[in-house]
Amino acid sequence: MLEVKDIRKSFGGIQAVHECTFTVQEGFITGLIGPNGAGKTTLFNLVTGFHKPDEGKILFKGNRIDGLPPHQIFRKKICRTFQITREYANMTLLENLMVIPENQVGEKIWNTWFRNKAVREQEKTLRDKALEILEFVELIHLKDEYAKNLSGGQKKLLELAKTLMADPQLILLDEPGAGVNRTLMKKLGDNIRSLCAERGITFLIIEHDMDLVMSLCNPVIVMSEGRKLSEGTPEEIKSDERVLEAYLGGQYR
Amino acid sequence: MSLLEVKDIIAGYGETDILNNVSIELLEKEIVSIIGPNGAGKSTLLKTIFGLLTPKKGSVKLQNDVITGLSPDRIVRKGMGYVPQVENVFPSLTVHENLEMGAFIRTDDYRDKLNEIYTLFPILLDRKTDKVGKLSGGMRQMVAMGRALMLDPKVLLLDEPTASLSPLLVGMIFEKIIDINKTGVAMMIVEQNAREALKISDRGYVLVTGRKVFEDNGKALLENEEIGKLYLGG
Repeated sequence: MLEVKDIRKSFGGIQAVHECTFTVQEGFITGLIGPNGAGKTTLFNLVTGFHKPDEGKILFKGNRIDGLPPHQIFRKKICRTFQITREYANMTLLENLMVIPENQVGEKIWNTWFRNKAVREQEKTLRDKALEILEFVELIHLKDEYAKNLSGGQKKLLELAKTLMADPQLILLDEPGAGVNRTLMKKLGDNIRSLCAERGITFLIIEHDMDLVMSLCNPVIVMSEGRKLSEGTPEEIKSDERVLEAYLGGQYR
Repeated sequence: MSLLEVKDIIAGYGETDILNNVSIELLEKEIVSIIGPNGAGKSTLLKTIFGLLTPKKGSVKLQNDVITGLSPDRIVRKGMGYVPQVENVFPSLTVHENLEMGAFIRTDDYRDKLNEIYTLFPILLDRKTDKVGKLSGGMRQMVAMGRALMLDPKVLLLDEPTASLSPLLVGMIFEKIIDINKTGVAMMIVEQNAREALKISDRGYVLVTGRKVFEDNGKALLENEEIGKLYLGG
């Protein structure tokens, strides 16, 4: 579904991503792990159009998407979350979700006056959808709260909710578990699994919580110093000496 | 002796109360963890203790000295350090400058203290002149902790010190926390990496929707099945 071929990206003199090649298969939950500073987030930025690669190709369903601006990539149904959350602070959670879909009927001034029934109907559909998603990420009790009043972990959940509003085919999650309570994280993992199985959404997930990665993701790709270090099933990764050395450390030996 | 005593705190933002009658304490040389679900008020509690938020009711005492309502800069001078969850370093300054910023209010010679911090985090010495914005998450966390230590605090508050860190670094940060604690600094840690945090904690508190629902020593909390299921991920 997603192919990354020989991608290079440097900032100033620093090579952030170095001849990186991998593929993400449709219908799978692929994990992307690696030490801090390995280039994982840069890779996300390259795939979603926030950076342009210096060299190499990125293909989504066979079409090149490298170099396209973020909004065009979003229209291809690739969505992402950010490590540092980006919510609309002075809007409620419900509003945060309802603004996501593009080209809403009510955006045209003509429609708001002469087709207000259509506007209302679409708003109702969107509201129902937003409520369903808020239920899914367990934020429903806060639907009328301003986003700025959420705790750090709750903002993470709102990020995930926002991607779901856009009916994505591929979701890139940048550390969905950081700062999220472990019990809720487990539940999130179950929910991601069912999104993948039931709605056919493909996931690429950066995460440091190994319990989550190992139980949720297959295959797992390991990056180190801008390159792909290894790829395999969670079991293979856990027993890969290079991965233990660079990333996992002693407790997994 | 109780080093830090938080009593019947009610605090929140605007109309909303986040903390409802929370009382906790930190004894000398202790490591205490605060755990609980998202939005329970854990970070708010640390902010209230550090004076970033004035409580509507209740008191905070540091060594029997009431510090409720004091501004953070006054509280820092009384011997408390705080490392927030995000934006805890100056990215455009170098490692060394960040540490020096921590000693901003010191008028004496703090070179020994700087050396002490470089001994604690040898990895920072190699990166002394690098801008912190270029460093990875783990090193930034060390810079933030090092900076908070520049004023010789008796109490250090850490808000999710291991969030977003690789497993290797999580282990390393917890080791550093133990090292810092051994120098006589009492620590209060908010963590979602709760299992690991409780392993190194003398005691722990479970906070849920702004109330303290449980407290015990670290080992007992780890072995408590219900707590495990509800807050530690089973």
